[in-house]
Amino acid sequence: MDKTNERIFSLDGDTVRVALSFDEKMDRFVREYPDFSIHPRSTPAGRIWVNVTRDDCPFADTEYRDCGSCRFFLCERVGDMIGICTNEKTMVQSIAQDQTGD
Amino acid sequence: MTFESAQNAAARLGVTIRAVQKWAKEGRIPYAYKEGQDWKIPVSAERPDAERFAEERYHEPMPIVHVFPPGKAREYVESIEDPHDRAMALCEYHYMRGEFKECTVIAEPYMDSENPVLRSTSALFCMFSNLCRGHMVKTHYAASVIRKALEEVMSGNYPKETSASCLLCAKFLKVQLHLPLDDLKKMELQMRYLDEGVRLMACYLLAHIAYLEKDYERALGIAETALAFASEDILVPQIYLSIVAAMALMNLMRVNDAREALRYAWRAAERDGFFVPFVEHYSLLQGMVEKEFKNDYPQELEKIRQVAKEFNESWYKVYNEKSNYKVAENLTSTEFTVAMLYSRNWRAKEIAAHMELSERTIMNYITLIYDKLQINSKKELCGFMLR
Repeated sequence: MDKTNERIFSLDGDTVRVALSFDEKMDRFVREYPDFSIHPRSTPAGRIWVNVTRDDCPFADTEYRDCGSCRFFLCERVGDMIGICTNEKTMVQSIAQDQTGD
Repeated sequence: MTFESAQNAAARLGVTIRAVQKWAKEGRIPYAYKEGQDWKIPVSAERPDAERFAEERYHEPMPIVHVFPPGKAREYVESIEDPHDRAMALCEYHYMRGEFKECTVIAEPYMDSENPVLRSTSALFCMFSNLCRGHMVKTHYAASVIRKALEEVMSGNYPKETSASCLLCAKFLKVQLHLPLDDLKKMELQMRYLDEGVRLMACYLLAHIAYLEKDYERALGIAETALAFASEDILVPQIYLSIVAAMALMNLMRVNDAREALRYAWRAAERDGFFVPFVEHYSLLQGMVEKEFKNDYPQELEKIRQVAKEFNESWYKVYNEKSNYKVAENLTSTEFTVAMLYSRNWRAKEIAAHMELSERTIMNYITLIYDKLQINSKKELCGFMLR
């Protein structure tokens, strides 16, 4: 796949880079979002990065159970698929940065 | 000559007392006379408007549920003697088989019939056939014919069977297409005037209403009770009732029972090729059609998919002109299924097990669906999806 574009998500002092690539099977451009349930990541302040589709959070503040519908979800721009959780109950010690964003 | 009161005459003729008094006053009932304040009517008097229906009289008030013997629907249709009955039976036969052009060719002339029930019934077939073909102007016109027929029977002196049939047609508009209709009488009160097959279709509508109100236990109860009482050869309502039972069972997370109900519906439908009920409920069956038909009925599945795509696109145009239209247009059938299940609070793991895909694949699908619809939450997705 050609990496023809990249978007940098910046929140709470941390950045995550997401590549845009052309998927021939789907015949469209798709973003290669990291799966934070497999590769956890947090900001220097200890706020965790989440995917909007995550639906197993015990502190979800919504009947819909997904991070995207939760009031604690913060994203850089409206409609983003990843963002950080601002709920203090989910804060962690800053997880060592892996290679997903840098 | 023996006479009776206006009240007795009204009960015998199936009209209101006021209608009998009006006819008598107008001199339309021979030998009727007034004694004090009361009219005396000959017991042999007939309705003065009887000849109005003579040309187009048929036996079943709403022929949408002809008694098709399983596997012999076409032969049955050809055996019907009454030409109007046969025409409506043929409409139903063609519609159920997805032969929408053939259905509308027969039905359209009846939308000008003097008989409001024939008008309503033919308009119902035209409406849904044109919906499946994406002919929106004709769809809206047929809906208006149904509305006007209902207004006519509700304000005129029509037999209760007639008004019950027209009410049922109008109820289809409200329940299946969510079109606004004011002051619809409670259908439950009218059902007693309908024949068995039509009454079963009314039960299907009641179950569907309960489903839309998210009262899935009630929807299932109505469907199962109606099926228990249904005669074996009243085919079409059995298909619809089984399908609505499957829908309710899916929402109750009784997936195996839902699959059994769907298989029952298909066994009833397949011998005559009546696949259209599965098109109409494709989205509401939440991926079950895909899963159950994929291996054993691939050709039928492909046909259902094609017609369902057109049906859903047109349905959304009728239901919501703006925001919901892009749901049907942009999503593939698999994406649509995932979207439906996810919006019903199924977890990704459960969807993966149901569709025999990996959880990672389902998450990718959800991300893709969000991207296509330009949303980023389940809350927004629920706002799009069918209820």
